[in-house]
Amino acid sequence: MRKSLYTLIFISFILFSCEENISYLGKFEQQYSLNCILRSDKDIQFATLKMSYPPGETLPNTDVKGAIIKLILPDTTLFFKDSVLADNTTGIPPVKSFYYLENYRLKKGTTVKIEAILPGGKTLSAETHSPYFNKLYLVEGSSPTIIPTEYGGDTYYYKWEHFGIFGTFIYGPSFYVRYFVSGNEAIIRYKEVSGKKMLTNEYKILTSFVDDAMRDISSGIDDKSKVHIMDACFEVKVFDNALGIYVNSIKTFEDEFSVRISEPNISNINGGLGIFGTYISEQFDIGITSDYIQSFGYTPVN
Amino acid sequence: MELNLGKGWSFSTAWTYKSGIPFTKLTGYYDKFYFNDSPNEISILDTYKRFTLLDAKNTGQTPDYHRLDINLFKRFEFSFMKLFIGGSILNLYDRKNLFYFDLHTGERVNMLPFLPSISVKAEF
Repeated sequence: MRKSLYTLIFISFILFSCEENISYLGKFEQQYSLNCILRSDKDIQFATLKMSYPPGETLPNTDVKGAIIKLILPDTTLFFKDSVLADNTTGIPPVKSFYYLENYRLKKGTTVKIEAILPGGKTLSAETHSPYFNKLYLVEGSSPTIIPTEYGGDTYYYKWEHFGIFGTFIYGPSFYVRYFVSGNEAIIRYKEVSGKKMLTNEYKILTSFVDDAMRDISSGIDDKSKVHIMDACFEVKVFDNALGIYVNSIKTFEDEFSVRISEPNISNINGGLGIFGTYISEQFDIGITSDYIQSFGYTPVN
Repeated sequence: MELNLGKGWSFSTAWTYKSGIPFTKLTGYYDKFYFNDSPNEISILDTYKRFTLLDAKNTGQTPDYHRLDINLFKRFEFSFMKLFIGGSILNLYDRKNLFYFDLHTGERVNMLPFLPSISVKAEF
């Protein structure tokens, strides 16, 4: 009796051992993303429009062309132009569609609205307010203006403050080495040096990281004397509230190894996805001693 | 369940069952912008990565998990050691149990299929 029971159970499992089909997909609904970051250090601004796509589509072209995008300022309305950018590398898709706005530079303390009318009539919109402060400056004594410092040490600290702060800002500090290569004098390159934001208004850079960045600059260049080091640059981006939150939300998911399933999807776009933000960029020139530049075999620029 | 079949033979079997658990369904993707501006780089033109769009939370349920494993062993006893020779089969009826569902590619990945093996164990 028991043997028959076991046999019956065994056979029944063999018969019902097939894969259980289940739908892992929810209902796909077309969504659109609008991205536009207005910056204070350029006279040209860009925007992109992209559409979502269902699972199973490989390498789709998600760009949306033919939309009307306007930037609404307190006293006027400006229209973005539609354009494409051919990508001659192996990048996919080979042609990128974008929108650009010439002869407009973001000013501090401006209320800006963006509105995108898609070819099908759908409208995406957002509004933000660019940061306003009178003057951003580096705190003397704690922020070296020439590197390496005569005091030695293994860390450079940069600290900044404002005159006339209106609102709470989120900052994006960065440190670069500026240089060019003989034969390409017109192209000023920026080599970023990794650092760490310590407090809301303080940035720490290990001197060894500056050394590493200096070495990396000549990667692939046989004659190092062709590398002309101009100086370094400490930049503080002051984000508006929307962009600050957005940047912080993606900060821990930038590398290729992070699992993005739990990444928050923050957007300030009404009717869609994406980000409309502004930032004011303040840059400070930091000198680099000739001895330090020459120790890498490079040519200092006086 | 374990059975002693006599003459050094032993047979064991185990059946495992777990009910499905709730999960959130995938609905699609979009190219998310990853801000990375520098003085000479406009990241909005080319810094995008695929981002997964999800349905309302826990609207799906994974299939039940179950599998049957069997083992058959023969024991040999010597004066200086015991020797066990036998074989096992994991997932006897080749149940396609879900391991995970890749939300980035839409691919389903299953756990171990029908998997026979043989083994030798010596005890001194």
